[in-house]
Amino acid sequence: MDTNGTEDLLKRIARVDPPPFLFTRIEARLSATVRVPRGRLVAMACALAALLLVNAVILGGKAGSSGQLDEVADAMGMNASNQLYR
Amino acid sequence: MPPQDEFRTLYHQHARMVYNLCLNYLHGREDAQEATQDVFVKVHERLSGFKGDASLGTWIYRITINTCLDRLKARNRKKRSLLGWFSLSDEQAERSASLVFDHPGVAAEDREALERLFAVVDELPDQQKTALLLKTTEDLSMSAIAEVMGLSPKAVESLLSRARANLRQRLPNEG
Repeated sequence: MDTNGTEDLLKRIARVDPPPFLFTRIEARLSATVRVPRGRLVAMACALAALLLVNAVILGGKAGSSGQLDEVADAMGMNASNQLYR
Repeated sequence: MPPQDEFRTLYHQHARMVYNLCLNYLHGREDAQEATQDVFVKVHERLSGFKGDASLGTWIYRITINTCLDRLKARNRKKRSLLGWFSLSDEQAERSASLVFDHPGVAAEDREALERLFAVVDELPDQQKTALLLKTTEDLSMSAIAEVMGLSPKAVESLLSRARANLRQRLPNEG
């Protein structure tokens, strides 16, 4: 098959009409697509960042208070460690 | 005109071009219908950002070409994974990856020859394939192809001559 022959063959492909239901399907897809407004996205990102910050502050505070826990445990004659043989 | 009516008009102006181009890239009715839907959903989403630096038709051509090339890549990935993971035969993998030739614009007497030809065209690099399809099946001029592809007419000519050379090399000589 020479290239002229192949190009003629490609040119012989007839143009067809798209099926009539296609536009209805596109409309259905467009109405099903939920668009989240940018403002709401920013608000959600800020809320998540605030939540992470609060968690970090609480965890940081707990880490700092481990010395107090040891003192209380010592005063009550208890072992604050979770190691069995110490 | 309300935006919905505007979109409907735009669809009716360009749907035939989009659907036929999708058929020529994907060679399957169902695949082309899904790709056409994808194209118009993208057009709807991006229409407000359309700057008008190219004509609307050129812009829709570009979206169509990119959508089809993405679908072809996804289909080839699926075929490779079916061949590799499930040890399917080539024919079974092609059927599962919806690579069955089902082009409504092809006459019965040309079907076999075009199926073989498209198998070779599919193996061409993306840009060569696009230049060839726009020139032959869409019958676009060199300058129109250059505009759609964002290249100079000289670059398009070079792509076309490379595509033709590749076809000559890969197609069995049947006279």
